[in-house]
Amino acid sequence: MIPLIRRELVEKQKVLSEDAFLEALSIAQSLPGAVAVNTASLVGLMIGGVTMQLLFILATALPSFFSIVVLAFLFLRFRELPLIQAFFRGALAVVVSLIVLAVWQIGKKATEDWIDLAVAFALLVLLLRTGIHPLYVVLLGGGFGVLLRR
Amino acid sequence: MTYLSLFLAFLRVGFFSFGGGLAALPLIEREIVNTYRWLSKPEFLELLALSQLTPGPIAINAATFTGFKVGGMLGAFVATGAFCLPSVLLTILVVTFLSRFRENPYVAGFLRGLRPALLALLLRVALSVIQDGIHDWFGLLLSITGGALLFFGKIEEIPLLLLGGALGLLWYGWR
Repeated sequence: MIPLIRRELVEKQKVLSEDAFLEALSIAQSLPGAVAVNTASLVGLMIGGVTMQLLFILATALPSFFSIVVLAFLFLRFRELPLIQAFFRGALAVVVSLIVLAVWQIGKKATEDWIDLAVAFALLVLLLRTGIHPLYVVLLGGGFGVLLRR
Repeated sequence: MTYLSLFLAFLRVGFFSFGGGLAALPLIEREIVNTYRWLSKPEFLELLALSQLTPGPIAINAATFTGFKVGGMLGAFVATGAFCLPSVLLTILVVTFLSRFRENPYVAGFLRGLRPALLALLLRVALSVIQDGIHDWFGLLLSITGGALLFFGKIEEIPLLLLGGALGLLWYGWR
């Protein structure tokens, strides 16, 4: 999604400089929400204000929206069928490998020192043992950062 | 009421999903499986598999899917819109007032502190998919083989998913 946005706006239409695009992308990654939506929203704002922002977000979200609506419609109707269940059991086993590998790749980059590891471990134990809402893990991590990492 | 709940649930997800779709999964699961019971655990896992097959962001897929299941087209629209709303508001805020917001030491500290939180959430995701996604030795075999093929770059994600599904069809559908 991101390379597509870049090629369209920076290379083809030339309405945005390379630097402005990179700036938007890095802000998009530090805000909550989907990175593609944030990027679309930021470049929309930079190019043409709030109208363009909303149009860009719609354009980013609508293709997924419609494909998922169609899939959900079919899936909810047919999910009980034994063959569909068999397909998903097999697919799910490889989803496990996809996710574990992605976690490994992202997780490697997420921590820099033993404080990070210790905080991560403490938060994980909290998450598994107490059943707190995951949003508190986000707030606690951020809070530690404000105290320790300024 | 359902629409209001959908709106609030995905607004929460939108505001707190830092660090990409994968790290948002515990948040999404909490809202749609535990709090509101819109999806069962197996349905949530199947949604994960469906999301991997489509190109869009995983959180958007989850919002659209759940909204559609619970409240039809309008539900899908409300949930997806609620998830995107924080992006709309926060990006306006950043562009108009805070273009240098990340240079603020408190913001920088907060963002830096999110890294271990991200790792904790990701590990929780990995543990729970291992626990819930593998039921027997055949699943374990598929998973390990698939992981090795991916790791060494022998196969792309979507072909691997379809292959896994096809093998599942042969193995589990047979009996």
